[in-house]
Amino acid sequence: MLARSLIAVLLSIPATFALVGVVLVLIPQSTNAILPVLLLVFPVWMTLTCCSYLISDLQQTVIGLVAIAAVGFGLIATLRWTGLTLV
Amino acid sequence: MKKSTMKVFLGVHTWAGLGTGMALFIAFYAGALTVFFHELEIWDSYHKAAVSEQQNIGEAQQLLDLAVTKQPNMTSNLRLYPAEADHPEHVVRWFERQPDGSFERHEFRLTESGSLNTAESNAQLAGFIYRLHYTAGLPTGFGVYILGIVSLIYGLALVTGLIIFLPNLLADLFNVRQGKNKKRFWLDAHNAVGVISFPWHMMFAWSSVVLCIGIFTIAPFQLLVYDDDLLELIGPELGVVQPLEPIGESAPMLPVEKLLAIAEREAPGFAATQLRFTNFGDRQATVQIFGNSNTETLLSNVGVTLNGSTGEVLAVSHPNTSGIGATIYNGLIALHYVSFGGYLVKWIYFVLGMGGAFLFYSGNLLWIETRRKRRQLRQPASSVFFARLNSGVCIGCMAAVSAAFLASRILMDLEYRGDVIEWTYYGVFFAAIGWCFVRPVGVGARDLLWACAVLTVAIPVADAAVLGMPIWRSLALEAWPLVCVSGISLLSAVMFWRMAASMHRRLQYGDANSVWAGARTGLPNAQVAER
Repeated sequence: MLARSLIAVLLSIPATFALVGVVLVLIPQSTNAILPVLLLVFPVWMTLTCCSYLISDLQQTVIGLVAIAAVGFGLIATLRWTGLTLV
Repeated sequence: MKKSTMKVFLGVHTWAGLGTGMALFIAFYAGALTVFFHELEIWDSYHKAAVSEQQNIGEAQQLLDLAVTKQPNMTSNLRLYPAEADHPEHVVRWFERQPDGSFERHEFRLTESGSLNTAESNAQLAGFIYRLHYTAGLPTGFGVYILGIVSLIYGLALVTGLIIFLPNLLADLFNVRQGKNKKRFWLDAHNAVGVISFPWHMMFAWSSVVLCIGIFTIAPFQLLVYDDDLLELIGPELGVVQPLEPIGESAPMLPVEKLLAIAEREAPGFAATQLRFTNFGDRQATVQIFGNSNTETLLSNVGVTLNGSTGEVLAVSHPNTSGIGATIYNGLIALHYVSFGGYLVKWIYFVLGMGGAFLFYSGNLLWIETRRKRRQLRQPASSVFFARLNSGVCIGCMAAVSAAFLASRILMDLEYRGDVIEWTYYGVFFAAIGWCFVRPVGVGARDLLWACAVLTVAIPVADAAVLGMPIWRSLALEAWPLVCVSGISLLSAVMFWRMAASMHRRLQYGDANSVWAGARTGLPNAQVAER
């Protein structure tokens, strides 16, 4: 339970920032929706943490959370690099 | 949901609850009292000979002028709190920046004869209870961040708790079974309180994370997403306005009356509660006026920022014109601070806050009961240790808060009353924990409940003896903060006494195979204490 919980709680953090970051990149900088999206960090983290317990295999949990983070960060970097971002 | 998954969620609920329960107990117990922060301040300073009538706005100007003359270097971090019905005096506070970065507070008031009173108010009980609420008694520097992390885990405990209860929701929600099986009773009560107040608890978990560690939850996006300063992007929406740059040219400030008139013009129906001055006396002085407006919605906070010398309005923050972001953010904060709905909602929050404290205490008891060995005297060492700690921290906190109230009343004329309140709280709190570790578990808990009853009933007695305000006199004079504190104290004392009596019966006649067993087991105290 300790390893499982540490993985769920800690690896959900970068995954949360990646998911919320992708939404923020796609929102125009001038919009007043930035603040509500920033407030979503807590619910998104909690959802990811709870969902990660639904995966019975620990290795799959790690892969899933790392993949979400990697894809999210990659998407943010790509969108910013290609200039497709609205920020 | 599969049984194995439910088991995992039960495990998560257990560690999350145990890891945060005691800190949350203190936060909720102190938080329930903090709902009445303003009323506690009045209770705490009732003995002070306040001015007989509410001071007028001309006297606010007189006070500000006298204070600035007395302290000419008082240009920034300067605040004027205009008199209100409950606070008939104007107060000027200056937070002087020290070389080490900390701030020293100075207070100024106007006496009835029109002279300047620079004596600090020694009524600090409400402030201390509030600090206890957001630090759980840990040093403020890091306590607030610890409580932020605790709030994260608290959210997880709430969601997992709901998930494991969902399959039996309809059958068990209002079913609190009292009987021989004490575990069943505690579980039913824990579930009923937890599920009924679930949305309120979720709001608290979320808003506490935002308030305590919000900066850490948005900082990564500055690196990840934004080139510009993120705080500058969202600041204006929240009414945060950077003060004007001073130009070093002195200019007369607009009178307070004029500043308030401009604010009233920008936000009609606005009642100012605070004026913050930055670069006072400079041509580019900034004045931020905060207050409340009756918008008949959740949000009531209004802010008007202007140039203190020219009166030019720099920004207006009003619920009626706020964007969606500010509305959601301020709504969450308003829900946390119960700055809406008046006394009815405040009392509901008080009851829910006490219910929250019960939730964490009962959760911890459940864990102890679950691990109970029903066929042997010797109980697991971890259960005994946790039972001691839980009783010491939770019951000790309640005893310590009552002792702090008592100390504040008895030593009401002492200059260093604020310090003594803190020493009293921590002295009683740590003594309670120590007592639980030197006495058998049940005996320690029973003794602490007696102590709670005695300390709590002593509060209205002290009101009568020291202040000359027994509850019937407070009632006759309609001194409602005193009436409420005395009334709640008496009610709490009766409840503590009944719990102590129940614990005493448990020690005498209860099952011997339990951490709570007492002398009936025939074991010498030392041996009982080990179990």
